[in-house]
Amino acid sequence: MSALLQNDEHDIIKRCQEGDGDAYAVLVDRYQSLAYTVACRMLGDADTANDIAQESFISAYGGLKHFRFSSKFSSWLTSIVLNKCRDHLRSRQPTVGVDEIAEIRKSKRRNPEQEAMAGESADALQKALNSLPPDYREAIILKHIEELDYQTISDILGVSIAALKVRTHRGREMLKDLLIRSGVTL
Amino acid sequence: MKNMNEAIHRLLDGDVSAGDKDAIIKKIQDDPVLRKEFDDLGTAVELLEREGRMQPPLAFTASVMGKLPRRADPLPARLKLFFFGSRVLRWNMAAALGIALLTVVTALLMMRQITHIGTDPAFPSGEQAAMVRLTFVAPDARNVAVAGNFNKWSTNSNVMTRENGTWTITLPLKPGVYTYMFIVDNEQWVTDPHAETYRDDGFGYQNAVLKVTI
Repeated sequence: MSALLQNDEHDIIKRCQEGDGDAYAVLVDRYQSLAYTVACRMLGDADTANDIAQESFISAYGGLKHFRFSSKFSSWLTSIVLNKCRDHLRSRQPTVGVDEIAEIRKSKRRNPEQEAMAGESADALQKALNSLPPDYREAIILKHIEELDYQTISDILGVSIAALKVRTHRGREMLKDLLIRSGVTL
Repeated sequence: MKNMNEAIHRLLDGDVSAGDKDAIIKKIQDDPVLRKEFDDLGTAVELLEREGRMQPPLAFTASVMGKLPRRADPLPARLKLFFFGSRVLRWNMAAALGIALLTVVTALLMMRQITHIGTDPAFPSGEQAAMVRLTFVAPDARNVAVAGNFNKWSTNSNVMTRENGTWTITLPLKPGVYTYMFIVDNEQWVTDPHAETYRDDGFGYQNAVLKVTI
């Protein structure tokens, strides 16, 4: 994030803390994709992910008056999303809506053959992610989908960088094996 | 092999020095097993990174904003909003027709009231009227009426009442000049002997003249 954007974000959060509810729409607009993607990849179900992402923003709004700028808003929000995902995964068996996820995944310009192959790969990828233990899954999502560095992930998850590397390495190994078994090629 | 496996992960994390990186890559290239391991892991990582972010439904922000708890504004802010905040009037055809009907009925009722006031005989033009008392002494008369240009010379519209031999009547008359006569026992036209002035009626009699002012 640029310094300009960070300053802007600081002002927006201040305005929210002073009771300007409308300013919060800027933050929701800016980070909706982040929250939704993390929830989707963690839960494997688009509808549930939408609910969880929305609930996360509502919780963040409620807790914003205690936000002290010791971390980025995006990191704080991500930790809220992941907590809600963990609660959801603990409370019920995950429902796997792989087809739905494949439909709404980020569109890239590819020819029909590539599109079909990409669709199959996306399905296999989400199935593989669903099979990972949740703590491996969240490390993989943050590292390779959100492309965050280990220090930021450590701040979000509250675990040491060493422990995170172990989770990421093991998660990658498991993911690789699952993808090979499903016959995925790039 | 275990150490090399860890080295591959560190390579994927970008967590190796330039010198170590070249050495690790050389070992990978020289060993088919390591090369396959590296390629497969690289495939998984590339697939993850290629998928990237997903977009939520279009109404996501609006939906979140609609669910936020409303914070109570301080009283001055609420008063300012009440008096100066812009409002949007939501209407439908039924409500609009109802208001139009109510407006028409109210207008008709007001017009009727105005018409009623304008046609009141006591206040023909809505002007204020003076209450004028006429008296006529005729102890032997059976009845006395007054006729004048204020009642189109009607002989029985304004019948006077008797009080100890004196006949009286009180008429509401707007400002102006009037002529009149008394009619005694339905047949005898008599000029008011106490009139201020008189005017010839053209038939050989004198009409009493009454000037009303307010």
